[in-house]
Amino acid sequence: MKLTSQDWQKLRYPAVGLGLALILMTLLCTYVESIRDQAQQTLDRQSSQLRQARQKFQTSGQEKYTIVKYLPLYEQLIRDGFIGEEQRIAWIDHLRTIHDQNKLFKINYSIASQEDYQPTFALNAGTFKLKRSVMKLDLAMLHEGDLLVLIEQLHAMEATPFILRDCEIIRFSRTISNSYIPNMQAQCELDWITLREPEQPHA
Amino acid sequence: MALFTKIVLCASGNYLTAGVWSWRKLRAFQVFDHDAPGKAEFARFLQQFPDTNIYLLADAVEEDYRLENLPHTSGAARHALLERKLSQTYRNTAFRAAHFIKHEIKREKDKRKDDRYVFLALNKVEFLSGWLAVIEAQQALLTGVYMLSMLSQVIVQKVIVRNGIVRNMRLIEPHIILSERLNSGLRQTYLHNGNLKISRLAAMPPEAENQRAYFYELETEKTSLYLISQGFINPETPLKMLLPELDDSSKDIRRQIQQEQGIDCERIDLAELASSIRIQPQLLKANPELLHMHLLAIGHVPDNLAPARLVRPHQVQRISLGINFASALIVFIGLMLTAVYVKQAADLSAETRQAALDTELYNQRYADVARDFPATPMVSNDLATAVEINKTIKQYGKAPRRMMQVISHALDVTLEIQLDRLHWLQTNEFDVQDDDKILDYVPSDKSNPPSSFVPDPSVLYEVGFINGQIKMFNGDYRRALESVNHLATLLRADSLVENVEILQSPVNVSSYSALQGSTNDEKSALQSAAMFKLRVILKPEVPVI
Repeated sequence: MKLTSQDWQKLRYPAVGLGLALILMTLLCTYVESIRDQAQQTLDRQSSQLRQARQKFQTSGQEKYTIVKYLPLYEQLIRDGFIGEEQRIAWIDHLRTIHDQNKLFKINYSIASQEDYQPTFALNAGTFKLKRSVMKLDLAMLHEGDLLVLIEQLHAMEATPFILRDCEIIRFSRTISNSYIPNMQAQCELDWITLREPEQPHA
Repeated sequence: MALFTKIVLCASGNYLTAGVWSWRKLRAFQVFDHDAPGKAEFARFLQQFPDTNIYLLADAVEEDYRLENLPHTSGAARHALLERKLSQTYRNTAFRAAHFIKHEIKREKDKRKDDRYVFLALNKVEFLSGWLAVIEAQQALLTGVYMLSMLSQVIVQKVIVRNGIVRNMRLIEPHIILSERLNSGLRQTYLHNGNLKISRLAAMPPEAENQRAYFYELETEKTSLYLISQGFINPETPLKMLLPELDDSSKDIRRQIQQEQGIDCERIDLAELASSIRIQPQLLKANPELLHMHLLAIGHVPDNLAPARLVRPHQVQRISLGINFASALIVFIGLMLTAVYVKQAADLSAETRQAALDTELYNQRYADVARDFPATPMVSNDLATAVEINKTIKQYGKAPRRMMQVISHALDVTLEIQLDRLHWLQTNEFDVQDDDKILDYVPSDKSNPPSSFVPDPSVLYEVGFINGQIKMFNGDYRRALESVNHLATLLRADSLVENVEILQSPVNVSSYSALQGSTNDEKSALQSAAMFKLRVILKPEVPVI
């Protein structure tokens, strides 16, 4: 059956009603569905908070044990300068002390500005930020053992830890048995690593 | 409600019966005379039922029935074929229809499949025109025009047999004549195997009322002769005549027909039939056509004879209803979905509230417990992490003591070798290049044994580049090579060493590199140095984390 314009005239209101019903119901369902989805997301967030709160309470004994065990060590790390600002003056003092005590030849040092550090080896830094200052040491030596003395005594100072990354020892071609003239030259690079505390969430 | 109300009309020559049905029950009926006042009254009647579907039954003498065999078709092809055939058969008749007869023709395997139809038509429609004009003027919704005889077929097919009104009649009774006394006259409908073949209405003059048996017998004889002439039956064919009657007043008629025509007659208890389809029997006494109208009203709608023009308002109305129904369905589904979502959202909100209460409870419990904790600047895990970081870094905070010890042990045995340079690294990058100025690096394929060393990139290895030369070299390259290889072998044998590679030999004897010198080298006072370079990788001291 072909519909005439008169027929369409009669079908106008039902067709408009159908369109309106379709649009309104689509809008209504979409709106209510979004409310349902929001409620689901809120529940997910709240459930996550509940799990965390429950776990925090259940592990409170372990937490207390951890605090008791690690808090003194942590405070010591702050005092040593591993956490917080570098204690460059103290480090230079250590270097001078080692130089004087072991009667070493002149030690040239340079400390570059601090930068963010991404270790290339496996290290779980958690929420801490790792910082690095590249230090260069240049010293003349009578014997290669002088380098070991310097490095090992720097470690022994229990100051902030560093990683000796690169060391080049070159023997001078002349060999003179004179304890006042160096026989070799060493150039080393160290990574002086410190930590920055994570920002604590405001209570 | 117009949606659940139907008007069924039955038009015969002199009058029109109009009945109103709702919920399958006859609510009221009215008879209108075929004159101007009657039509005016009918118009007023229709005005009371706007937007109500109207079914019009035609009960006329001027009916035509033809049997047609057509090739089996379906869908649009069938429709087109029937339209063409009807137009050919009834050139000047607008009111016509083709009624399909089920299972009439048994198809033989090697022959064309045919369908059998009864073509129905009203040859004269003057008795309808007036009523149709009123319906059109009222813009009433005419659903169709139907033959009353089609409902007679329904009486036999569906009502009598199914409801067991005639209990001793078998379904296989092939030849039946249904004789119905209507206000318009005597209608005799011939059915073969329950299917309508022809029907004829004989007007009953008033004088015939006193000679009903004779009149019936006369008309039955005419009908029989017509059936014989049309080849539906032969003179020996046993016929069965059914006579619907409210009371047993047709006993004489049945006896006379049986005696004179030899036709087996049986009465149909019209009262029982009416009761079975829920119409009051006493109404049928004055208006027998109400039975047919009622059958139509309760759903037995036969083929429509009316042209499309007349039923267009009804079809548009049906489309409109369909659209409205679709709208209602959409609204219903939308509201159901909305209800489901609202219920889910409410449940989720309730769960969220409960979870918030539980969270608060656990936080309170934790706060109670945490009162005894030492004051800490940060969470306990961070304290442990900081300490562990410090430990890890300290593990790599080493001097090149191990490398020096390994080299010293090897040099203690190879006294002819002098060490000029040591470049020590802690790295996990094994493609790092040594940038010493002492020796130009010449790639060598020399005697480095294949190594199974697979570095772990998460660990820093101690790597040493060793530059050296043969002391007091006198130009004996073979010996110099042996010395360097011996040194490398000694280093490899050390348990602390992971891998040793000779990067540069005192002399490169490979065919893939250039070689130059002088045959006087061994005798010359100024001899070139026999320099070499090794790369030594120590095993990691730090355990893999």
